[in-house]
Amino acid sequence: MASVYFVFAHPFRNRSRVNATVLERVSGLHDVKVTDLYETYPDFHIRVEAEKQKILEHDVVFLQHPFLWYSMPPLLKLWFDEVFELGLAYGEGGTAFRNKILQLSVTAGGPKEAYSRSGVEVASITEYTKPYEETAAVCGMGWARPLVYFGSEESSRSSIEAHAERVRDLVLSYSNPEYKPRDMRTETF
Amino acid sequence: MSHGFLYSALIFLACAVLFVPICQRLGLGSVLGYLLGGIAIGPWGLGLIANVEDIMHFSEFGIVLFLFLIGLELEPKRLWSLRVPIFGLGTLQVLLNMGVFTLAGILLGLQWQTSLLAGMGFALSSTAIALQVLKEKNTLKSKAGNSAFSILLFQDIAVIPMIAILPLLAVKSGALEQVSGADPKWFGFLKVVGIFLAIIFVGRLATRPVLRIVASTRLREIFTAFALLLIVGMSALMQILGLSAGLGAFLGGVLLADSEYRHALETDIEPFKGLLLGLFFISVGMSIDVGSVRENPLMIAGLVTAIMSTKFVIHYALGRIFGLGRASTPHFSLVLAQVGEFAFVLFASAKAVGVLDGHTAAPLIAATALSMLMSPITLAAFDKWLAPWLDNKSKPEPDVIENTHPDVIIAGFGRFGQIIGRLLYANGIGATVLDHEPDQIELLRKFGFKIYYGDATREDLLHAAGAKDAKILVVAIDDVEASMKLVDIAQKEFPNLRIYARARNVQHVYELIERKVESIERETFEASLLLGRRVLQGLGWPAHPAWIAANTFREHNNQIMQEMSAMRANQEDLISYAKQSRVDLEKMFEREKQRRQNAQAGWD
Repeated sequence: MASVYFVFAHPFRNRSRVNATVLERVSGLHDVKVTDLYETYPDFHIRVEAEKQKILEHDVVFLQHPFLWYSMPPLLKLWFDEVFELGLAYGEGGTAFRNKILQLSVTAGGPKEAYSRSGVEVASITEYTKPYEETAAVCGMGWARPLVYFGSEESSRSSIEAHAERVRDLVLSYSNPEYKPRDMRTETF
Repeated sequence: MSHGFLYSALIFLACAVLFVPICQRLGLGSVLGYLLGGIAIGPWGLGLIANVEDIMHFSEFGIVLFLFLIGLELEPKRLWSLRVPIFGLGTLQVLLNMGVFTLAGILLGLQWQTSLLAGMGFALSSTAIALQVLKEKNTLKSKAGNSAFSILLFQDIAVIPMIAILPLLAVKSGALEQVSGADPKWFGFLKVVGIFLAIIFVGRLATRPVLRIVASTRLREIFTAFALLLIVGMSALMQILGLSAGLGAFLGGVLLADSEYRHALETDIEPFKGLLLGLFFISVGMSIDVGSVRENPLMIAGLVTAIMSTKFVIHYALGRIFGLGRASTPHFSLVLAQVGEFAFVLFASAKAVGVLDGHTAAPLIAATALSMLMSPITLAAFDKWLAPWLDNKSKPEPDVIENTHPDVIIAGFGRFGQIIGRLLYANGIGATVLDHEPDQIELLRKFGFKIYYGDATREDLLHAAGAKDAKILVVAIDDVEASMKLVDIAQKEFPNLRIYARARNVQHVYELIERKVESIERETFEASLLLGRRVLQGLGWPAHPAWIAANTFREHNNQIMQEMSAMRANQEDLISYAKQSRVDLEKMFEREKQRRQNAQAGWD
């Protein structure tokens, strides 16, 4: 059984459908700590100590956000910059996050094809998640296969609900020892 | 001549106003102006003023005030760090000069008593002239200035034994008895210790609460009166003890140096000091016995030259030994080369006890006064011709002028200025704080703030607070009129000072914009904006869009403020413009909203 720190970052949640629904589904789960970064730090003043503590207290760091220009929202980037400190997360003596798991769940506005240069290479989404993966590696964290939702611009309500269930299942698969979902971590996409 | 007070005052003031600016303009310094003025109106000039000695005695209080002010700038810690120059350099300076001059007197065939007396007199320098010059040249805080000051301070102490041995030199037997009735030595010593302790006790413990009470009456003249009372009291105490009044005042100043009322005391005493010191210099000028100079011009000229060059050489050697730079030593030596005002007192009392006869005394007194006259002249000549040459020759190691003033001055330390001060303080940036609310000061002092009591709109207080060297002035006072007054003074007198101002209302903003103040902040604007932003959030807006809305609003609003300030001339235009700008803002928000919605279509 593992506890999950669920980090949510979306600058305009009022315009969001997929991410907002995911957040709703995940909030209030047992053993899952949720932080909405943009609501918690509206002035971009991240309380670094509190964030460190939350990571230390949980086994899985679960990131949920939309891809904005093939990358994470700026406040999440700042969160990495400020919380993943030298001597704490990496470098000499930086072992605090070792053996924790970094799990990414992103939504992408365009269809799958938009994320492959040739228009057919599905696996190239990993090119964009490479920075996350490297960050995890440098910090000695386990890297789980990312969960990606494509084409959120055009998606139907039922597709959104289904995806939110998938994310919730993934979170629960970490936090609930009794819960036995289909193992999405090994699933290809 | 029994002219009234008004007549004398008229003469003195006119003399000062006439001569000082001329000399200042010629680059000769204010001291020479006073001295020349004194010669002109004195018994040997136009003869407008007669009772020279009385005036000199009265005006000597100016030196006392001067020493008090110097003391105010010397915190006990700094004074302690000067102990080596004071006692090492000071002792050597006095003893060497005394020795050389006494020996010279004996070699010239004078009695040894007379020689010793002259030696003692000539060894001393003029505190008034030297300090004035150091202040005007802003070198008091340099290493050379420190050394010069240390010597002057030691001389003040050295005067005591000099006066004490005076009767022993007396040729008349009666004079000895006069003094031998004094207290036994150990009793005198106890008395000194007792009074020193009393001064420390009074200065450290009692004066601050009293100052606070006096300050809280908010009667400026009572505060001034109390400050003067303090100095006179200290001086009187010292004189009872047979010590120099100046020394007492100096100690009093040192004890108040780290108090929050330092600047207020400084600005209140400064004019008294200035006028009295001026009067003192005038009286020195008046006392120059032009008659005896005319009788024996060569002898007097030779004497003055000999005294000043001897002192210069001794000081130069001492300065170099005590580690002064090649470039600053000549100035240091010259500053102390004149004979001091104390020589007058010494020679006069020597005449009284019969150590000196009138025939010997006259040239000595004349030489003393003339050396004081020559001092500013030689200094000016040195600065003009010798100093630049020296500078070129010996790539001077610059004397480090201690920057005792922080870069930021905060005027007004109420709820507004306080936050600025605390933010700076929290980040290790010191600020000079000016406030006129005594209660506030006490409270904040408890929390370790350096805060000074005074009306920030007074130019002299700004000077004292270091406005000349500061970078930023924060105008945080709540009174609009005072705020504008301060801005005007600061812009006029300290054009380098950048002004950051708190604005009370829109009208105030316009006035500040008109004066091109660098940074203006409406005192309630940011708080309202923040609360408004929270209201948006309270209505369900996510934090980020609410933040953007507030930022957009701020930007637009500031722009409107600038434009409206420019259009302020016509009141009617203003009103219609206000309406117009509301429409503008609404349009702007509408545009923003559309832009956001379009941009976010894909952000899911």
